[in-house]
Amino acid sequence: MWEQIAANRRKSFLLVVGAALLLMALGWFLGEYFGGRGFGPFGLGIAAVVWFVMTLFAYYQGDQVMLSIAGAKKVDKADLPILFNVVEEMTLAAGLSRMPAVYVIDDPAPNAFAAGRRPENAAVAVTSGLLRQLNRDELQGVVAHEMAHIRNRDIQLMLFAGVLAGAIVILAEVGLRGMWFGGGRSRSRRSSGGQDGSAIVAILAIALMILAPILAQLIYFAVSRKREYLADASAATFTRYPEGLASALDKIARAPQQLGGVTQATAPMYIINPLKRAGKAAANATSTHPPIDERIRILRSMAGAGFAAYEESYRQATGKQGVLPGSALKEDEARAPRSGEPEARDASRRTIARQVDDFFYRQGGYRRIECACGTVLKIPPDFRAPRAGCPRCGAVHELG
Amino acid sequence: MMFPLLIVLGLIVLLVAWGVGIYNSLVGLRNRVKEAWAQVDVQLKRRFDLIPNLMETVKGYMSHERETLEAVTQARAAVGGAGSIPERIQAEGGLTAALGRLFAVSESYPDLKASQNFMALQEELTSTENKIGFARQFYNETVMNMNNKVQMFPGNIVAGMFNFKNEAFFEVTEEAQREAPKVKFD
Amino acid sequence: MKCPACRVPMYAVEFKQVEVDLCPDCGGVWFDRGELSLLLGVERPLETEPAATDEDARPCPLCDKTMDKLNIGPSLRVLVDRCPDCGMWFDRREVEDLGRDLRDNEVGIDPALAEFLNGVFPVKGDR
Repeated sequence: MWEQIAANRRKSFLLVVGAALLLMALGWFLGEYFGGRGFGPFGLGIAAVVWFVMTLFAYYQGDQVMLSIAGAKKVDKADLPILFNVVEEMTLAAGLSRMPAVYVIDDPAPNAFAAGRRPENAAVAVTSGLLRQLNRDELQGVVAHEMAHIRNRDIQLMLFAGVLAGAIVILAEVGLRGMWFGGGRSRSRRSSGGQDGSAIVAILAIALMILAPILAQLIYFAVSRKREYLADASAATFTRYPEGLASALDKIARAPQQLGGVTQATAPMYIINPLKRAGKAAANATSTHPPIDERIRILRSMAGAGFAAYEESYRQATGKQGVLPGSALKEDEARAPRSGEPEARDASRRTIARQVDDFFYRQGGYRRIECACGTVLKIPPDFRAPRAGCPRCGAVHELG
Repeated sequence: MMFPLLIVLGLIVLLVAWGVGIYNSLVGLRNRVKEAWAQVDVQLKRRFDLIPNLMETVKGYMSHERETLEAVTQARAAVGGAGSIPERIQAEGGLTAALGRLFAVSESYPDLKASQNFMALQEELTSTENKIGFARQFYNETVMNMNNKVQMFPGNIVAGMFNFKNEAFFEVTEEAQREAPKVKFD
Repeated sequence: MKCPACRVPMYAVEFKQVEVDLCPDCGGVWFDRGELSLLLGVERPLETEPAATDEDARPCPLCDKTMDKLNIGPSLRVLVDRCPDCGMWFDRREVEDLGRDLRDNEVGIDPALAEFLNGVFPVKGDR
C-alpha cells in the first residue's frame, strides 16, 4: 500500500511537470506573440502567476468550494447511523488513520464524491438520492470507491491536474480573444528584420493556443480514467464484495435524474460523471470516466476480490494489456470474496431511506407525531390544516 | 598507514548506519502493528460495551433462550478476564460465535425484531463486527510485514540483537467464522 | 410538497419503514419513485398501459412536469398519474382498489408492501 502511494506521488509529480511545461511554453509564446520579441519571459511570468494563484486557491479552498457548490451538509452519527457506520468500516478497511468527514447533498440524482487534499482532512459526500436507492452492500461499495480515491491520493493528483488544465484553458482563451480583437504586435509593427522569426512565433503561438487546451484536457481525462479503474479495484479489495459496487453503479447509471451543482471542473470527482447521460458515455479520449457498462462488467466477472483478479478481469473485458499500477498488483493479498446478503437487501434499503428522509425532515423543521397505532406522521412547517389524521387508525392529531 | 585505517573506519561507519536503518524500520513496523492493534482494540471494546445493553433489550422477549443468553454473558466475561493478546484473540472468537447464535435465534422472535431499540442495537453490533473484521484484515497484513522483516535476512540479525519478536496474527477460528453474524436488517 | 390535485401542502406517513405522502384535503396518496421500486422490486414491475381518460392532467409534485395517465395492476383497472422520474399519484381509494386487484388476482407482492397496504390501506368488503 505504501509503495502504491509513493508510485502515485511520482506519477503526480511527472504529470505536474509535463502539464507545467506545456503551460510555460504557452505563456512564453503568447508573450512573444503579443508583446513582441523578447517578451517571452514576461508571458511566462504571467502564466506562472496565474497557475500559482489558482493552485493556492484550489489547495486551500478547493474542497470547501466544491462541497458548497454541491450544497453538501455535514452529518454525524446520530443523523445517519448506517451511512456513518459504513464510512467507519471502510476507513478501517483502507487503513486510514482518520475517518473522513461525512456530507450529504439533498439531490434525487444518485452520486457521490470525495474531497480533501490530504487523507487526514478528507471528506466523503453522497446524495440523498444515492442513499434512498442503495442497500447497505451497495452503499459500502460506493463509499469504498471514494475511500480509495482518498487513500490513493487521487484527489490531490486530480486537483493539480485540474488546476493546470484550467490555467492552460484560461490562458489560451485569453490569447485567442486577444488575437481576434487586436492581433499580434508582430504583424502590425515589426516590419523590419525578423520577419521569418515572428512568422514562426506567430504560427507556434496560434498552434499552442489551439492545441494546448486540448492536450491538457486529454492528459487530465486520461489520468482521471486510470484513477477510476484503480478506485474500483481498491473498492473490491476493501469490501471483498465486488458485486456491491457493480450493482450500485448499475443503479446510479440507470437513474433518470440529473445532478445539480456540478461544473465541468468538479465532474471528474464524482463516482459517475454527472454531466453525461447514462448509456451514451463512450470510451473516448474526452470522457473523464470509463464507460459504466465496462466498469460493471469488469467487477462482475472478477474471480476473487483482489487487485490481480481485477486486472485479469479487465484484460478479459477490454482485450487491453492491463490498467493497474504494478505496485498495486505486487502487494495483492489475493483476498477471498465474501458473500452478500440478498434476502436482507430491501430491508436495509428501507432503513437507510428512512434515515435520510428523517434527516432532511429535521433540517426542514418538520413536526414528528408518533401515533399510538405505530405510524409516524411528519408534518411540514407550511402545513395549513389544523389537524392531521392517521390513515391507519383514524386518530386525529391536533396540531395547535 | 592511515589509508587502510580510514577504509576500515569507513566500512564500520557504513555498517553501523545500515544497522541503524534496519533497526529504525523495525521500530517503525512495530509501531504500525501497535497502531493497527489499537484500531482492532477500539472495536472490540465497543462490542464489549454494547452487550449489556443488548442483553437488557432481548431479555424480555427471549426468556426461553436462557442457554443462548448465558453463553453470551460467559463469553463476554472470558474476554474481560483474558490477559495476553493471543488469549484475548481466543476469547473474542468465542464471543463472536456466541453473538452469532443469539442473532440467529432472534430470527424467530418477530416482536423483538420489530423493536426499534433492537434494530438499532443490531445495526451497531453487526457494524462493529464488520469493523472488527476490516481492522483485523489490516492488522494481519501489518503483522505479516513485521514478521517477514524479523525472520528474513538481514532483518533477523538486528531483530535478534534488539529482541524484536514475531507478532501474533488475529486468526478467527473455524467455528467463529461459521457462526459469525451476517449483516442483516429486519 | 404540494398535492397535485388541490395544491395544499401534504404530510408524510411512515409505517413499518415505508413512507407515503398524504393530502389532508382530498385523501390522495403520493408514492415516491424510490419508495415504489423499494416495494415492488425492479424485477417484478406492475403491469401498466397508457390510459385514455378525460381526467385533468396533473403536474408532478416534485418536478412540476405533467404526469402521464396510466392504468395499472393485474386487471389494469386502477387509473393513476405517473411521473416517470419521480413517482406515482393515487387518488382517494385508488390504493385500496389496487390492493383489491392484487388480492383478487392472487398476485404475490413484497411482504413489506403487503404489510403496509394491509396496515394503512386495508381492503374492506368481500371479494
